[in-house]
Amino acid sequence: MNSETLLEITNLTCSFRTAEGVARAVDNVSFSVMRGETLGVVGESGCGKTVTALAILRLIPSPPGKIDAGKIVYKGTDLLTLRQREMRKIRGNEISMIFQEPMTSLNPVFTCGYQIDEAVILHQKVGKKEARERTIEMLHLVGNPDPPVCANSYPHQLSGGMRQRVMIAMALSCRPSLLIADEPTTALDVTIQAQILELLQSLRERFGMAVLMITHDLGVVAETAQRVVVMYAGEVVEVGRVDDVFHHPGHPYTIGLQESIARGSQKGRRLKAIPGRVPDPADYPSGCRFRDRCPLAEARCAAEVRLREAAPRHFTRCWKDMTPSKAP
Amino acid sequence: MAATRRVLRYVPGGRPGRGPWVAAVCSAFFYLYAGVLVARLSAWIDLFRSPAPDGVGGAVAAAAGLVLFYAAAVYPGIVDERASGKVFADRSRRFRAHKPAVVGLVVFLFFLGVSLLAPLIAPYDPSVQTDPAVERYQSPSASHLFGTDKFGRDILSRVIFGARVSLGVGVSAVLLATLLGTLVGAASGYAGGRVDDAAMRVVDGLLAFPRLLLLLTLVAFFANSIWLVVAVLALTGWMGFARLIRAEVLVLKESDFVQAAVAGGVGRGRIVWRHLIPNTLGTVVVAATLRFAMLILLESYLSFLGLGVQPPTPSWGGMVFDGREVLVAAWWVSAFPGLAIVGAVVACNLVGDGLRDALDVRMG
Repeated sequence: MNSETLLEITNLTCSFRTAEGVARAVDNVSFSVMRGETLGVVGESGCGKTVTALAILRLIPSPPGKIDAGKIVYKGTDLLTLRQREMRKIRGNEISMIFQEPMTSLNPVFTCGYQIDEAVILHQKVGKKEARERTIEMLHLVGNPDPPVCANSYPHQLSGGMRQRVMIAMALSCRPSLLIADEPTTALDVTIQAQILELLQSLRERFGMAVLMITHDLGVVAETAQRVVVMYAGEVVEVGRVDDVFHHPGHPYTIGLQESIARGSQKGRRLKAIPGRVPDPADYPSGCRFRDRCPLAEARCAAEVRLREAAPRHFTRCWKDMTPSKAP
Repeated sequence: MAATRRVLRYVPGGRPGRGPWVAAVCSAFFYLYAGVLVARLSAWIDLFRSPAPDGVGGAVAAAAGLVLFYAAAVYPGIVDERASGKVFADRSRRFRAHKPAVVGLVVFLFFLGVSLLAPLIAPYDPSVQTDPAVERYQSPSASHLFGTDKFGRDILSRVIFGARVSLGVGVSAVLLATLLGTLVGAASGYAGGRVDDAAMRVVDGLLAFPRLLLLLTLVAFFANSIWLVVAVLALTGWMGFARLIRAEVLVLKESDFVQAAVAGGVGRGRIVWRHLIPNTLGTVVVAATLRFAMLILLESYLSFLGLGVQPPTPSWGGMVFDGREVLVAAWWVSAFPGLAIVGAVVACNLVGDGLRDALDVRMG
């Protein structure tokens, strides 16, 4: 782990006990987040993106969920060994999270300002006056046209986009080093989506924080991230710089994801979808977990496939060479 | 504090912008009342016991009683009212659209006012016995609107003072029960797992216990006092609240804003106190109002059975009991306190129904 690494996840495995058996929602996942970078995590619903994010903050509901193995090292400490009390100091202070649903992520009975104040007071040990100043400042930073009014508004008085801005203000109020954004724009209008992404970008630069951008939308990754982790069925299937992964995808799943994006240039043609479904986490196939849906699958795919470095700093969990990736 | 401003906007009739002085005066009163309530709880309780309360203490305590009702019935409206004035106006309109509820509220407030101002409006001393030969069992007339009982006491005055016992016991018991039930329910629902299981089995057990029997036994065993009645009513009445709040908390704790709060590093106690309980207040108020009606009835049963408040302190149940032997000859002895019971209970239930509709609470 070098000094540029902010968060390093090693062999993280999380499972959920279900009626059908133990489901490994996250299986041996490793990746790291550098200081100040935006790392995109993409994949279909149910591939383990959100569980990974929740695991970082140790928020996996237990029971039925459990972190079975692995290390989550943040600034040199393994978060999985911390006590609850210490963990609470990390949450919201060092590592913040924003959620998919801005409409329901704020407590309806308190004003927005009060809720941001609360976060500031909780972590920064400042008085109410100071906290409110910080709140107003944060609301201003997230592009609220009239912070004092917004601070005195209840969540139901604000639009979805404005609520997400309030959530961002709250998440960033303690100047975290890492922001986990779990599908932050999925529930918003397209026009608002772009604004929010831009806002996150500018705040990231301003505060020098790292962002873990979890999304199912490759477009969002292309727009915001420097590096990307592609997840499938609880595993990392491809990691690399955004340019490399987009231009020279190293895994058939990534190619499939790209092809299922609607594009103007393909007008009139039928949109390609990846056939089949994500396998049941309680019963993964042996070898490559994508092979049932993969157009290139061969007998060899039933054997275990490891993540390999197909090109410098570009890893893939497929033994085949796709289009050759140029070294940076 | 935030609470101040919430109250401020409610008091001027739910219309913001009436000027800061109205708000300031109202909030000052609110805190004065709240302070007095805490300081003078005992004096307030004394009201139920002695027909003639001690001057200042009684008046102060009476005011405190008013606040209790105000705080309990109006708080959820206040919270949202501060938001915009629109939500409160909307809820208020929905409540007012429910005509029976408005009638109920008026009747209820009337009873409340009567009980608080009893010494001022009662035409006679409720417990002084006059010459039985002359005054006994007089039918309703101009001098005794509701007639007199076998000791020549004025029934109207006794019904007025009896309101103190019925409403007072009801309010105290319902407050205690609500508090206990909310805390147990919220803690149990949030903790989940074994704690939750254990707490709910205790609730099941207590619910299975015949309440009236327990009341009768306890009252028979211990020195009869109004406090015992309140305590027993509260201790046997919190389980319903606990279940209701637990169910609500089970839903709320999975909600996004609670998860967001946890992700923000908020501790467990604060989650329950700041994020869960305030969001159940609508349910609590509605349930408390409906339960209040039931407690008035229960207190009447007890008094009827001679186990409630002891004579000469007037209570509605006891008065109905007194008149049972002369029901045909002197119907007024039982009828008027009986009507008072019916009136208070129906009024409470109507208010509860109205609040339920206005606050959009689903009741199990």
